[in-house]
Amino acid sequence: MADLAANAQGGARPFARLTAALSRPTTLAQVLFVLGVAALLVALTLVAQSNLERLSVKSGYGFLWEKAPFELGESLIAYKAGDTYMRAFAVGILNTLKVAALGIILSTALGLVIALGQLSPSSVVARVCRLYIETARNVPLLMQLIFWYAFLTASLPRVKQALSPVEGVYLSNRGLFLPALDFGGAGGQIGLALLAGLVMAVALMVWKLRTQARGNIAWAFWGLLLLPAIATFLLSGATVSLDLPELKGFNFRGGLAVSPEFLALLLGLTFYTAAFNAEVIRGGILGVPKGQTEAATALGLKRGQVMRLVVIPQALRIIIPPISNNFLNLTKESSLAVAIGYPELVRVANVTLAETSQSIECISIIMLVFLTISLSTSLFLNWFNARAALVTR
Amino acid sequence: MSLRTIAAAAILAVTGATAAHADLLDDIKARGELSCGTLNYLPGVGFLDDKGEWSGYDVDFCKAAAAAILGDPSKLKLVALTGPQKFPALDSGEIDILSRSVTQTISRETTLGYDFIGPNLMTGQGFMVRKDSGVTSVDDLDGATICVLGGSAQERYLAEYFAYKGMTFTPVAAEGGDQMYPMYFDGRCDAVTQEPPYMAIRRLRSGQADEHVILSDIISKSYEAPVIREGSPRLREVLQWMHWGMITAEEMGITQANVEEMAATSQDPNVRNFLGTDGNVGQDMGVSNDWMVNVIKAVGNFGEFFDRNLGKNSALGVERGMNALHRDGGVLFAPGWQ
Amino acid sequence: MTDHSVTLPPGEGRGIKPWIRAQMRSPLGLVLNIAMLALIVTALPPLLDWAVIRATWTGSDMNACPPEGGACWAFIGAKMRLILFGTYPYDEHWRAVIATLIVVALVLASLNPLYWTRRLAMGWVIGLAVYSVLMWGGVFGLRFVDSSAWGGLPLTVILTVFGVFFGALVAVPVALARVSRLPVFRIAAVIYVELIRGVPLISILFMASVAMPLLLPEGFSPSGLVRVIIGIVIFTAAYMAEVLRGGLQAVPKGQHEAASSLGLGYWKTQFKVVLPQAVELVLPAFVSLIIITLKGTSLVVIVAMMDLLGAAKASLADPNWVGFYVEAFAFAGAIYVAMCASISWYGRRVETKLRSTRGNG
Repeated sequence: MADLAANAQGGARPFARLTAALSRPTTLAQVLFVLGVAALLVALTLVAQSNLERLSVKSGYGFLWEKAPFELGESLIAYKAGDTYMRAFAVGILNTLKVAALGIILSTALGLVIALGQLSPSSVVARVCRLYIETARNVPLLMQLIFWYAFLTASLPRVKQALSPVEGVYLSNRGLFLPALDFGGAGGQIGLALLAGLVMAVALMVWKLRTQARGNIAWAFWGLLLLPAIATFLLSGATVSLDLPELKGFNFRGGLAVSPEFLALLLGLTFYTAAFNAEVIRGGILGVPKGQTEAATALGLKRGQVMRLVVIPQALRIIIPPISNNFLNLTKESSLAVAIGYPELVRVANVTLAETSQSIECISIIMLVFLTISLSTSLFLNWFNARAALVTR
Repeated sequence: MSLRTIAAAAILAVTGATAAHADLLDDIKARGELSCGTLNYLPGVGFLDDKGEWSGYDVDFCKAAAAAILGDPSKLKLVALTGPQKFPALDSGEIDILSRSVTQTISRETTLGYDFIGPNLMTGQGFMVRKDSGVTSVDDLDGATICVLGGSAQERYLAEYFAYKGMTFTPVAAEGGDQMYPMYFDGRCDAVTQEPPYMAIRRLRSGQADEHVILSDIISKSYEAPVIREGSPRLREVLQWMHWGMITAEEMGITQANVEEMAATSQDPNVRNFLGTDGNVGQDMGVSNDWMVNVIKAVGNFGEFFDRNLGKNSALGVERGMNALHRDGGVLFAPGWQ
Repeated sequence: MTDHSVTLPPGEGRGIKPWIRAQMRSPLGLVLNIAMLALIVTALPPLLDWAVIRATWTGSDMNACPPEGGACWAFIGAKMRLILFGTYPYDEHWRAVIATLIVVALVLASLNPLYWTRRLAMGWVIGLAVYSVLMWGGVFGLRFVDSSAWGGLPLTVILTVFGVFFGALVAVPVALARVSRLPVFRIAAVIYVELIRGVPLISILFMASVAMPLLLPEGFSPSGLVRVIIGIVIFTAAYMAEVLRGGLQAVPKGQHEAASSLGLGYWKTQFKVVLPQAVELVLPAFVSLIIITLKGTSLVVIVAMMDLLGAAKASLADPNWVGFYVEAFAFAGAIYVAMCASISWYGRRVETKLRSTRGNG
């Protein structure tokens, strides 16, 4: 009512309109709230500025272009001491993404096995799976990480006595060394092509799920996934050879090296998150109404077809929102690796903080990166859910 | 209402604080308690035992400072800090003194705005390797995996030294000594790098002492010194002269056991001046005249202070080496007390 | 939840025989059962051998435990007090035990909506006062113990309890703002909740323990323990607000309408009618948040505090006992599992009781 009245005379008497609006308690409260928050932010900034000035600590992100005087144990891109802090942070972010990606894949696979175990007709298997879930998710992840790290470094043999189950594979407390394919100099390009292929293949799968188009897409899927990489390989004229790890000097050289820090983090994240994923997957499968399977069987579909065409698509709709939440948690929790020295984002920020004393900046970088990952994932999910929902309703 | 009041109060507090910014020495005396940041996990250096008692070299410096400023070593609040926390805690005023085996460097003193006292422990950055590795010099470590404390000055020197020599290495950054040394002894790393006294401590405790050798090469000098923030010249004076005073006491043969007797009965004018029996040195600095008596009663002279925590009277048995008086072949030499 | 594995036909009693009969019906189940049992039979003896038969139970240092022997429980015996209490002064441990028990009892009572009376609020006030006196001391002849010396299980419990308690207090206004008609409050709540849920807890703890002093005027900075609690509260409140929002939105519209037709204003409607129902609806989710917070407190190790995990780590630093990390983590891990499991058990019990009392379900 007050609104209408104020609007009617509004144009001519803006001041009256303002006072009328402010006289409503709800508007007044909101205005005061905004003012209060703004004042708080200003106060914090002023205090921080004066503190930093008093301490003659530099502020701002200029240090990112300065030289970082430390080495990081492992990196997906070339990095050495003397490169910029910016590059060191890039190394950290890539290492975070690397362990998160592998952790998501492995924890989903293990979670699926445990979920199926719980639903299996064997009550002993179901009980063992239940016991696993209750233990793994009730022990703090940090403790699991510290345990795995201590286990890997203290219980595995020294590098000179490395276990070698197969020629070219070595396991010691320096990590796992595997044979690798050596593409000469073209490895990076081929990797990028493979990534592009993966994106296209997943897009195809999403499209299939969305339109429920008929026909088998398996060929198209593998083609999209692998063809770009194969084409890049052929076009670059690179040669392929097997790169075997070999004990030279202090350590194994060549091949693919997986550090104990990375292994401990991956094991911890996988075993911990698998327990949560198993619960989600089990809930998804049980969430498909019994009538659906009965109807499908009545239509004459075989057991495999019932699973593939009826149960899995419906279960996926239930599973995807909560499991992607688990994936996000896994990504955020990979930050605990700082306790075991894996050079991911938080560890890079920590060393930088020790060198530059710019704590607010370093912590804000951690927060910004994770926030970007979280928000872009939820945006993607919202889009995906909207698409997935369209077909059913 | 509340948010705005808080904001206003905050702004007032800031401007007020900046305007009337005094020497930290006066703040500590007004507060009646000294706040000191240290470490809690390294016996002999900074250790909080399972009975809740603090001990160690770095802790004793804090006790001495409390005795010097407040006349009582127990008027002290000790705060355990991790590596990344140590400078922010000093910056924020949570602690007055940082006594946590911090290495003094020019960049830390000039660009980060700290004042270093002392130094109270002079060593360098060395390496420990397994005897059977055949390594005899740092330059043999090309391609090695090296354990180092994450976020320490050593992490930086290590990278710089290897880059300068054109050698490569793989760092394994540990969160603390308790994580780093077991990893080294289990063979996760080919070498471990820290100051030789600390490596000697750990080697002794490992139960496999004769399998490891500490290389004689030192890749960087390490001046370990307590730290305060810049801007409190009088606090810096008190702490610096307290450090020199502990050395002077050793030169003069004044010990924890005889200090009170010396103060009462000594006729030597230098001793009487030093212990505040005569003259007004203490009060001119802003502490009591018998301040050095309190310090020596609390922790002893420099020799006692060193030997009890790190040296021959401790389980660690670290040699005095450079940290002996000049007349005994070390580098310690204090300015005159006139 | 339905259990697919065992479906007992009605009328058949409990016991091992009907169970076996049920297992026999599915050949796949039978095969899996036998395989799993075989696995357990092969894995169990070595485990028992290590944990019980060859284990060492008493001894004063590591020489009591031969390297080729089994578990060294003597280590736990020697380090039990350290792992449980951290660096809280040895002779004062009884104070920490009583103080912690008081708080745990209050929490258990508070989890049951049937006990939500004025008396419980009084209990909290008195309980927290007694708690502070016992933990800090300094009065009534009790020795003063600075909060930086608190450690072990009491620290884990207090971080959890304060995190959940104050987190819930903050979460209520945030959740109300989140569903409010007023855009400013709604947007502010969304920003807060999404911001906090988007970043890892460790970054918030770093902010609280390292950067917070720089954002406050000189001399205003609270102690390390308080700063860490503030960090945990900020984190927990965001998740609780999100859970509570679900509850608020699930309360039928009719309840609002009925309340306002009775002439109740906004606040009375929320606090007397809507919130109590919403909280009951989200109690199970709330209980899992308590467990998440409990596990999250272990992260304070990274900011140099000695909680249960930190004390377990510290117990490994003794040169007289080297290399018993399996025993230390098994002991501390079992405590965590026991705490989490009993919280969820208690939560389920309260839920069942509530359902039977309310007569709907």
